[in-house]
Amino acid sequence: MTNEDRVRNFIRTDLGAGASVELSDDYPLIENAVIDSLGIFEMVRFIESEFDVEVDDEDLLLDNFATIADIARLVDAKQAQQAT
Amino acid sequence: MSAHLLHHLLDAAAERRPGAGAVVDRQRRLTYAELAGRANRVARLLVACGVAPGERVGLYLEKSPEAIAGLFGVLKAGAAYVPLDHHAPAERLAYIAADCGIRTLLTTSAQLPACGELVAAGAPLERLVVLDATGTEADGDQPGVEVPGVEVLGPVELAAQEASPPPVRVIDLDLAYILYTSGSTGRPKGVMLTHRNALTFVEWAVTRFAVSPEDRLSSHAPLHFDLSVFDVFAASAAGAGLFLVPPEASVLPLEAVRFMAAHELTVWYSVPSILVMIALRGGLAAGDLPRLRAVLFAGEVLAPKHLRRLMELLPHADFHNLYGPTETNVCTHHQVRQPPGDGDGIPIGRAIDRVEVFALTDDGQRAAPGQVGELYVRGTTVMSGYWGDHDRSAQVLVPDPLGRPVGDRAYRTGDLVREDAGGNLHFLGRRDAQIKSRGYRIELGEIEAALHAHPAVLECAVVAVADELVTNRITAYVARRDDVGRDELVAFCGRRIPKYMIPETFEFREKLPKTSTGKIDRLALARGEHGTDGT
Repeated sequence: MTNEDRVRNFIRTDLGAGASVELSDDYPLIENAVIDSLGIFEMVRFIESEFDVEVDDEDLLLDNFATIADIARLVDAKQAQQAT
Repeated sequence: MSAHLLHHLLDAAAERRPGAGAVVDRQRRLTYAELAGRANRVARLLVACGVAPGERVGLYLEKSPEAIAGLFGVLKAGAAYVPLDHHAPAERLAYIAADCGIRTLLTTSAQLPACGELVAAGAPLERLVVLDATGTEADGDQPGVEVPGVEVLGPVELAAQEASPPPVRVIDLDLAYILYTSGSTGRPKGVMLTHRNALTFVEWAVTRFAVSPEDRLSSHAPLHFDLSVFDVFAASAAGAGLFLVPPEASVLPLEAVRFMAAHELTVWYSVPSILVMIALRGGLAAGDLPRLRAVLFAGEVLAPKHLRRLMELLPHADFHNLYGPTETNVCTHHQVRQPPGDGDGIPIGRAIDRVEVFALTDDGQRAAPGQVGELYVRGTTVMSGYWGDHDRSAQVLVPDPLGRPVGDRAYRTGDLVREDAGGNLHFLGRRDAQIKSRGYRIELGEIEAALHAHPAVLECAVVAVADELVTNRITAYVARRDDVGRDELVAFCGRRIPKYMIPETFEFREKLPKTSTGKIDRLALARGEHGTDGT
């Protein structure tokens, strides 16, 4: 399963996004309230445990969380950072 | 002419400061002259379509300069606006539309498919007015999506209207808007507020917070949330700028701080949860956001330690706690002057101008300072009732319990309060199963009703678990017939109730514990006792 799919599954099962939401890689998650003010911290907890990375307060920006593709990119960057 | 109707505030601002920025979002900035002109065109089009004074017109669109113009346009047509949460399920919105008889909806081209879903779910819509320009062809074609059986009007019809106000007369006792809140019986209830209700609060607020043309106000709350009444109308009353907070700034604390800094906001008003996020993870250094002079919060309790942190980071700002159920607008206020200690409750304070508040003990006596009582509110901010629901209106709008002869009604809040030695009221909790989560007002009974609608749910109880960050988290205890799982119930609820009401945790039990009277023992569930685990 790709990182995108793991994030997508989490959103479907734990953030309560119904099956009617398409959830493509570039679907705007915050714009459409799929990730809300509570969901963002659940998402951060998920990313940290699922991908074994640390998300800092400074990472909490739209560029990193706007879409599933953005989140996957953040995960890649964090993993690369921690590998060095 | 004095401003005795809400839209007079806009007319006066457009006359005094036509070129000043009225509403700003990511894409656009409308001046007061432009905002008033657009509102007048909307109003004229509504009148031309036969929208009568007192009729309810829905607002079904993302908050935007168009939405603000549409809101004022509805008022200028003499009608009442009903903001619909565009993230809420179609079934719930269709109920609201049918409940208060919404025939006309203001919307955007992007929302047209969703409008079709409302119609399919039973909303009695006859006409949609599309407020944005996208999708309109130069030759006058309307936006591409059709909604069967519903007339779609758009920019072409709007542009054909004159930009002056239509000749419509209403008075300040007429309905200005209806805000739907969670209802314990499973159906939302429509709180009816008049021009005078709102103006009483707005006039007080503009004076108390000295809102001036130089101010730059946040618009954080969605329009279906009563905090927006301050944002929209205090800005117009002062001729100040209104800055629409984008979704990411409600979700990501750094984006919120960046937005406040980029627009040099001077007044911020929101529920506490976003302020807690900013205090904890907003990356603020003491003295940041130097232009921010006032931070207003309302909707639920703000923990003293988070407020203290914010006050330390923003020592140049004043901090104000505003209190009031939707039924009373804001009815009390307290300015927090010193960073509170952990044990200090933050008072809800004292009544605003033209409002009286008092607490009654269970035996109907006026509560003395130090005694716990239920809060009653009397005055011109108090709603005129729930739409179409005389029984529920009569339960909460009661003859003055103190027996004065003028014949007005007092609103019974259901909130328990205590007055301290300094004369300030403190909020202690609810008498019933209403809770707050992230500022949203939620009746647990409405969630239970949604779950009960599922054929496999035998019994259920929904309880709130206190949580520092968001006030309450919601857990559902369910006894079920088949192996219906959490995902299925989440999806099922998602078609009936807004997302913020959907339980975060589901606990499955063979059966639920009962009290001696045979009712589900919610206290035992909340304490984690009884009930056999059926998973």
